[in-house]
Amino acid sequence: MLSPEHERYLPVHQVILSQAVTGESIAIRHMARMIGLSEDLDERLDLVADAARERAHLLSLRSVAADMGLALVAAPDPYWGEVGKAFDAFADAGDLDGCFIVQDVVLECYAITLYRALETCTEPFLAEQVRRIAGEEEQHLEHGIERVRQGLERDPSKVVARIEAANESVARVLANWVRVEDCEPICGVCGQVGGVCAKDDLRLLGMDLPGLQPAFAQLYGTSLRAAGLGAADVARWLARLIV
Amino acid sequence: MGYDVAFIGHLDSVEAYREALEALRGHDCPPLTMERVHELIPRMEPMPICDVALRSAQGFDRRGVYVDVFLLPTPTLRAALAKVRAACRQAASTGARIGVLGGFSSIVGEQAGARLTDEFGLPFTTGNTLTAAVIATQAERAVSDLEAPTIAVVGAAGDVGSGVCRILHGKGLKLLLVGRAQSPLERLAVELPGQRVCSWAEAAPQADCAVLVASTIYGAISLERIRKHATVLDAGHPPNARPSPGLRYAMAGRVKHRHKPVGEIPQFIEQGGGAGEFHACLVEGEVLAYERRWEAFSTGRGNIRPEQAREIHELAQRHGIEPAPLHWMVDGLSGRLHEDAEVAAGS
Repeated sequence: MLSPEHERYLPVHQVILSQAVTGESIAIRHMARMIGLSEDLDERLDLVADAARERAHLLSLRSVAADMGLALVAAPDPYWGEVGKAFDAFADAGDLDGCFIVQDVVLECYAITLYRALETCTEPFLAEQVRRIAGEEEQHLEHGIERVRQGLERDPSKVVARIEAANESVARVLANWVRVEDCEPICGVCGQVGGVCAKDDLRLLGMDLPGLQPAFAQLYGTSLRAAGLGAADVARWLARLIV
Repeated sequence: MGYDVAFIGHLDSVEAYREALEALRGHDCPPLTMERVHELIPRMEPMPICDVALRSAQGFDRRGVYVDVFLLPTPTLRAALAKVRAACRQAASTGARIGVLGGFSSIVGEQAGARLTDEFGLPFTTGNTLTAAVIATQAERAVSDLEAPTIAVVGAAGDVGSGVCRILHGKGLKLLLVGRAQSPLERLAVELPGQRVCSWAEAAPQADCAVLVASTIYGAISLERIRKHATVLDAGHPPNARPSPGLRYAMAGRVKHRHKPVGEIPQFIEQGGGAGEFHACLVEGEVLAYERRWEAFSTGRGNIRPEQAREIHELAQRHGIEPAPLHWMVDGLSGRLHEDAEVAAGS
């Protein structure tokens, strides 16, 4: 396992923190679009509060990076791009329920999985931050589950169709992002082109890379079943995540 | 509507998991490698996989849910126990009224017994009594043409194995008790006067029929010293032996329904064997659900008695469930090369 003195310790944290900050900024962008779609004042106020919480996460991660002397890097890559396109498709269609599924269920499950994995293999000061953030993201996930549950009561077939779409265009992209094999031609973790891959560093950090996909599938599947979706549908969706 | 019964089970090989996952994923996903599945399964937490619609020959409908433990045949005991307990928790969370522990998961029911019910608020049955009853019936039929046959039971010290021995002893059959743990075998021999404890090396050349019910990895039991005319009934999950050329070898411990249970994902519930056959252990939970007997019918280890075995067997028959025909594999080839219709008919 990498120790803070190891020369590869800082670059891998630079990658992790940059991706985490990007994820939080994307959540803020999504919530901003969702505020515009909601016609319910209380819901809009809740979304504003949620976006403010994501802002606080972003700032705390930035602050950790500054304390470690790390400059955050923008890492545009095909994965975030795909996720953004999928979210925009729901938003462009005015489908707020679809937006909630992408943001509050799929993306939150992914974020919680990665934060929980990081929590066990990083320094106490960062572990403390990510533990707190993961706890708050779990509240967003709870909200997403409740939203899906309500949707199922209204129109189960519409909810299933939305999840099918979100599974294909978001969950599978996210699962592919943390596949075990090194990334070619571009690394989904560090965004570098040409077969440079940050995954070795994650392994050195002690992260169980082969366990990330199943852990994500586990949380995502548990959330969907908790919302009231059938076990067989969920099993089929989860099986499609494995790469 | 809630579930009546939660079936807790696992597939018997990495290949079986790969095939099941491939079927679930659909053909548009890239194929999974065996290495990836081998890496994946131990990391998967148990989860409900699908609903199972059940119908008895009496016309009773029940609703089941299948929970897979995601257990490979070679786990450490500690890891396996943790996963089976997690599966029990999942089963309880489905709202089912009884849980049944299939395959390796039954070991938790054997060890924890009634404590499982207290811990999860749900009665759990190991399914071992119906399994023992079915295996004993299949063994008895397999030697029915022979005069004074000798049956070697490998794994006789185990819960299913000792149950099979008690049932066959009650039928007056001569048994050779084979297993790893000597003292339980010796206690069993005292309980069953006239039956003898011996090693597999000693038993194999004497047996007319070998019943394999050991908890072991696939192919751990060698059939090299078995006599040419002998039959081998392998009830292991995973199978205890590899079929070898010239031997009459069949999987045992499976049942056939008049009304086949319908699982949304059949790859997980119809595990190997002939079409429409199911492991008897899981079916014990189904039978208890038809009878609305929400009880840990089979619990603990070494408690299976012929009276209980007869009772659950008769209840199964009442609901249209019979021991499956033995599908003999010859020349070491897998698949149903020869169906023994006489055995199937139970004559």
